[in-house]
Amino acid sequence: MIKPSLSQLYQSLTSEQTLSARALIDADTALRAARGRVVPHERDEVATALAGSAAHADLVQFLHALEPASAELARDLAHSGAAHERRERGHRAAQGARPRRWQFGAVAAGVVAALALFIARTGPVTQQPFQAHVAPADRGDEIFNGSLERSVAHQAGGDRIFHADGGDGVSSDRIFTPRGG
Amino acid sequence: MGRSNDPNHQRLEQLLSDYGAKLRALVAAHGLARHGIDADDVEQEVRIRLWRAIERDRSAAFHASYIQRVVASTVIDALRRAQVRAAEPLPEESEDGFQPFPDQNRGPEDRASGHQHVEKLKACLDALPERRRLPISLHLQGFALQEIADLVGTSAEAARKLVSRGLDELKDRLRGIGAGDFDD
Repeated sequence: MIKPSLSQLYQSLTSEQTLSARALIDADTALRAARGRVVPHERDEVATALAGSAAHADLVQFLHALEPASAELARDLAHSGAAHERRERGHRAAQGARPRRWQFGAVAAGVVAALALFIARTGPVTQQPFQAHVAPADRGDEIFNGSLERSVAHQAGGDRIFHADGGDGVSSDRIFTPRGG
Repeated sequence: MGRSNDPNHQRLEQLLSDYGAKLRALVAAHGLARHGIDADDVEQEVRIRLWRAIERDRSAAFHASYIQRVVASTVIDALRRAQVRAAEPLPEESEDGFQPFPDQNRGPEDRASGHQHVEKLKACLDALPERRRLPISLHLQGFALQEIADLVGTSAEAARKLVSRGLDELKDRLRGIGAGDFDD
């Protein structure tokens, strides 16, 4: 006759325990329990929860058994990530050489263009004041050189205001000269 | 070049596929299915979560503890979903709503007998001294002696003695109330 299994009986008894009733086991606690590194102050609670819930007990044992596979995956991912990084770096280096050439050209062209613009803008501004200064000097100072007065004074004939005879320009000006008088 | 042709992509796919296969096998081996967990669903979810994490930063170092945490969170989520489903009324629920043995091939008499055994076991366990009850309960849940020692904070040798003596006492008590003999 086959004897009933105490483990089977007990696990069927505790399989009814819900996680909400034993909600203290979260992922981190389960992982600590799986590694056998339960924090001392939570030891009683965790041990009681695992003893009273088959779901928690199965989860912790499952995580314990999965540890080697997870460690292996972590190693493989690290190798794969390093290889990816090396490939990316090589790819960036290969792509980086070409842009540098035209980047230098673009910078040089920019400097030339900036210089040309600077010259184009600043050239007339520096010359115009110089010409403005020099040109009047050629003509002479109209305020102080008296040339205006001279040109008026040298006009042929004097002023003829109310000139009575309207004849010769040699006679002197006669203002209010009485004709026939 | 398409991503499917990317050797790095293919390598990652292969790594996650291999890991997923081991994960699925362990989910089945540790009886998580009896709590309503689907091994394929867990594998799929873990692979998706890990893939997203890798996609976020391919150069990041993924420690084993991070991977374990992803798995633990996924399984706990699945357990909670399974409990929600179990809490919903079923069309053909058993009369007392309690099925200690999930084996559907067992007849009503067998189930009634199993239920009686469970009740007797519970009564005998409750009668044990506290310091023995916890190690025995952990042992019956399938924990190894070293794991029990780590959980209750004692040495493996002390755990072995507690479990051994506690089991003897438990079996004696069960025999004493007429429940018969039991295997571990």
